[in-house]
Amino acid sequence: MNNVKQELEHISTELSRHIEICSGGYKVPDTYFESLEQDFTSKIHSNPYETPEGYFDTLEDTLMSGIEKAEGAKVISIRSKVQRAIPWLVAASVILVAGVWSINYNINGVSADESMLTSLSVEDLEEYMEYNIDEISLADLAVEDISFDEELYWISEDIDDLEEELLQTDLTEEELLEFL
Amino acid sequence: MINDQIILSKISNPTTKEEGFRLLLKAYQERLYWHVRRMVEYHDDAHDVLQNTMIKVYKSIERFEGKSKLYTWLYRIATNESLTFLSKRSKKSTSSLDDELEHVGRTLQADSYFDGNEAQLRLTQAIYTLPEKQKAVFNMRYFDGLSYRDMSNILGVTEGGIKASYHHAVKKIEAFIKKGNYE
Repeated sequence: MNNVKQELEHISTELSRHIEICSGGYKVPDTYFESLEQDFTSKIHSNPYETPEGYFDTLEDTLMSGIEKAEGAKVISIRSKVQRAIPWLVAASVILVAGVWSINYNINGVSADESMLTSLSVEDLEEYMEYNIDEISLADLAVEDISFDEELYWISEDIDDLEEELLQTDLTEEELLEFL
Repeated sequence: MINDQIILSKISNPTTKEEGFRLLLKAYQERLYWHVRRMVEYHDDAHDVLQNTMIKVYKSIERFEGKSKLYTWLYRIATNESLTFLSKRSKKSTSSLDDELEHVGRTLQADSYFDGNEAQLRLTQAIYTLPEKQKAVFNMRYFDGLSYRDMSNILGVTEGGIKASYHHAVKKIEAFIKKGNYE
């Protein structure tokens, strides 16, 4: 700690001057400022913060209780929600396509899609594809019932988790560089 | 103080994991609290950050391979949690640094959990102005007396980088206090 004291000599001097200025002309005992600077190095190292009374007596139990709650709360990630929804989405799409094709075919005797496709321009098709791509994305989000903000939150949490994993591995600097 | 090996050995056994983790808390919770508190200033914030730190420690302690000291690994997670918290807090804030300093001064003076004198308040404000990583380095050196080597392990930065960071932090604090004295 002596090295730290030497390193911070200037700060102690300035802080003692600060107190002198803050006194705003009020009188203090004759020897007050002579001893003040000497005392400062040790005084300013003391902790200015306090905690609620008895905080550390119960902290262990409080922290363990928080850990147990966190362990009990199973968080389902958006990725796993999407993965679980995929079979249902595929099945619904197949039923929908089959149903529409069947209705069209039965009404017109020929496939309505076929006759429609021959009359469509390239621009019409491009517009159709673009529209449907947007529809698919929106449908996926609607199934998840997750707002855009929530989506961002989940993505950022994933990044946090990845970052956390990297930090919590006690790799040496060389190993980390090698890994990267 | 209880030996880290005993703590880790108990934690590695599923039947004694909780007992081992309680020993870890007993040994390190107070030091980690103060480290976090100096970073985030307010008690409630410090408690939340400490709780998150301990949840992460609990979830990943089995992956700790003992290549570094246990307390540097714990400090590393606590520091990272504090930096993440501060980063989120600064993104939410739209006020200028001067406004924030005034606010910090007023809030700390009114805070029943801050018992500093005028000089300590000024020093706290000076530390508040530091960029987050310099703040972490300064606090660990100044209040915890950690060596540059330990800080290097905690922050994953070379010892030279830590020394430079600390040097800049001290100069900025000195300049901040001087500015207040001669204004």
